[in-house]
Amino acid sequence: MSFIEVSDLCFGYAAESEDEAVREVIHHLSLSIEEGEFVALLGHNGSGKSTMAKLFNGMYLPQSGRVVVDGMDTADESLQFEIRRRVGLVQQNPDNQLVASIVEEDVAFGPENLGLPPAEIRSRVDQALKAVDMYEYRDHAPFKLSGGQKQRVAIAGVIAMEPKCIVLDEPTAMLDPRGRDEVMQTIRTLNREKGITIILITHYMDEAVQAGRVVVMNSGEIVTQGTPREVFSQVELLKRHKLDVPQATELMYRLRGAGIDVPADILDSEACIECLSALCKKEA
Amino acid sequence: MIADITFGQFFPAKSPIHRMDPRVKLVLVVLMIVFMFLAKNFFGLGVMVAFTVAAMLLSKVPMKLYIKSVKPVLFIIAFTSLINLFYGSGEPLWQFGFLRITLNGIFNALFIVIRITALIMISALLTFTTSPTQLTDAIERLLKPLAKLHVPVHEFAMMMTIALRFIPTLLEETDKIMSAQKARGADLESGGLIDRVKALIPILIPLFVSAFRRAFDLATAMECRCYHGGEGRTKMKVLHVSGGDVLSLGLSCLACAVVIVCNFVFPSLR
Amino acid sequence: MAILETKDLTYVYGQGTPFERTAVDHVNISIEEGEFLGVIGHTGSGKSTLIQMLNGLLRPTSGQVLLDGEDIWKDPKQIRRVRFRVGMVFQYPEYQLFEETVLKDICFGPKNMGLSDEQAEECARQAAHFTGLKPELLEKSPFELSGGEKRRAAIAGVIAMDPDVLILDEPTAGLDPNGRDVLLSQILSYHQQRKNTILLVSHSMEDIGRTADRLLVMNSSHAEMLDTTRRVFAQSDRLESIGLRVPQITRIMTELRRRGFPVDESTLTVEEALRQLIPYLKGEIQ
Repeated sequence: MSFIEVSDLCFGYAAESEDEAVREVIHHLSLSIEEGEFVALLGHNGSGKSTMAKLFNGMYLPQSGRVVVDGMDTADESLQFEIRRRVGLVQQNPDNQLVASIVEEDVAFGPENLGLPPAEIRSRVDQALKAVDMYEYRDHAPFKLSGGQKQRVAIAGVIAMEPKCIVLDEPTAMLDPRGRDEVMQTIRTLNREKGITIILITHYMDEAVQAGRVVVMNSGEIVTQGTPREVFSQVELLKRHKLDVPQATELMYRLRGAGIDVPADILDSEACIECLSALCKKEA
Repeated sequence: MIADITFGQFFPAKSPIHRMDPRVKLVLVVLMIVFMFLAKNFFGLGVMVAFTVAAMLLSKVPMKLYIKSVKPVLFIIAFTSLINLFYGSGEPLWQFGFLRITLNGIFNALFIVIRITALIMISALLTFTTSPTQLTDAIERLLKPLAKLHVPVHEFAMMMTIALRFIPTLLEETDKIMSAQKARGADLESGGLIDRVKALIPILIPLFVSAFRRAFDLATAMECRCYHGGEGRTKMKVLHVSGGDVLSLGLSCLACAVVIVCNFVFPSLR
Repeated sequence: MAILETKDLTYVYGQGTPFERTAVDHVNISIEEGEFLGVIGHTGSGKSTLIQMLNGLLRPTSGQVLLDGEDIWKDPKQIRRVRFRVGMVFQYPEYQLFEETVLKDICFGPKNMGLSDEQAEECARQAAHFTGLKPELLEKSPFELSGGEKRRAAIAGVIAMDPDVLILDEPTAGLDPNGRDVLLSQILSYHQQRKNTILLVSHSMEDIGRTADRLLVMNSSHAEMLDTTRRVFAQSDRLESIGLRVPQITRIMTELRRRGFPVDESTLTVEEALRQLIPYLKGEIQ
């Protein structure tokens, strides 16, 4: 069985008034995620991808269908904390998820809730801060940090709980390019070096490209999934679902449309340049 | 900018006073304040002042900052001492209509000035040398026994922690909203009282909306990090009462005892 | 003709305190009437402080901002008039909405200008049209709108003052690709119809490449470059040395040129690239 097993999941938000129907956001969605995977969940705003974030750790409970994490059904309330310590959540706004006014005390918040002995908390906090490269800032006030740094502290706060999986809900949407790079770098390292399962919810294509698997969502359903190459070569499909492809991919796609024989699964500028120069050399 | 001011209270330094257990510090400061009020004459008060000054010198916080902290209450000090000046008993030294100054009045006024200044100094000493987080922590631990009486001590401390964390964020946000509304021509500076209150609506409503949005996000984040109230919670930082703490505790008890002795031995003022 | 000019414009935060920091240092730039100027630079490069001085929200520590040749701080009492002429849309402007209805909120600016209710409403409806806000949304509460709609309503609130210069600080931040594309083309078509000056601050080089005629590059409190977008993006090495990049397509085309492809020095959009590459590649293959 997979680490996370979502089967035939339906979820909707409660109606605000009586004459309004329940707004169903997720329709019969099935998805399995293996331990150690890096999955990007891609979709436009309102596609249901952020709702999924809270379904993975039992913050929301399925209306029908099941979400099973590490063999535990999220609908079982007695397992609530067991599930949450295994699946951490990082939200979009870095300002709104830090609790304490000193970095290391914020990171300690989770382990303190788990009731761990002080020495254990101390060592987890130090390790977590080192893992996101924020150890030097341990006694700073969060509000003086940059967006990228705050987001890394939030990630450290989750790591200190020693989760098997981290779900990140648009963690870079409010950051500048430097902050985005910092956060993406951190995510990649955690996945590669610590083997933490990553579920990255985003609408940035260049971030999704870094994942091992991309799952595209639209109106609460999975439209397509596969490796970034497989998914991004379907330019037509992505555009239909209000998504974007990297400019390099778009260029190749449109060259193909003009009858020039280039591969469709080019994702970055280097590959694109090599491909085009090779094409000319071959012909010459 | 605005945020810098509110956090300016804590002055990070490496001094014996900074190193003290915040619980002990808090208890001592409360004790000192009580005995400053109990002192009935200059001798007792003098002991307290000497003790305060010694602690201030040890704190490695610039004297300038202590003097600055008196500034906001200068008016109150002046006002109370003036009243005391004119309400003394005994032979008038100077009289004009109902205003009369006596030797006793002068002593009383002087006593009040010293007492209030000392009170402010010792409170400033506490806030300069203890971070807000340490202070919250100390309060929570000291009040812990009250939890048995169903007083929500942990919840209160959590509220303090969150407030401390979000005050600078909300101040910054207020700044931003004010700029945005000014850019739309909001006039915040002119007009009568009613106009000015009305002008606050475009700032307060977005601020409330944003505070609620933040609260909602924060609640989610806390729940995701397994927060479930104070029960079964541990703390990373363990507080230790050190030799220095015991020593200062002993010294201040001694000082307090001296105040009581002074009260009996020397005549009280008034 | 220059509509906005700065003369040795300088801004120092916390002057006289230990936290003193010069955010904008002797900047001399001139912004032409009717141009679409992109502004790029890192967080902390001074671009936010600069734009807030351009409409009189911040008063320069030294130096001047000239609007139509006149110092905007000549009469500080009249500074609000400058703010009506130089409109400013902040980052995440939806957080400033406060009125009961979207229409009333958009009317806030025009009413502050002293327009009558009818005139203000007329301006508001027009502004809503420019930003692509559907008329039926105008009577709703701004808090019922979706994220993208809120953003449009907030931008309309500034456009309704009919400013001669419109400054937009990252108007597409946090929007998804579709929302971003639609909003950008709305801004472009507004610019073409109204023919006013637009300053667009953005971290997205792709967006800048698609919209801006000229580009101002801010770097550590200075105006590093001010030139046509094409010429700025042609200097990819210089941009990279200050930690900025060029659009992906520009990068690809610059490298192809280096490898002997007969393409322009600076290409800004995929369309431009295709126009050059298709005929060439077809010729090569045959």
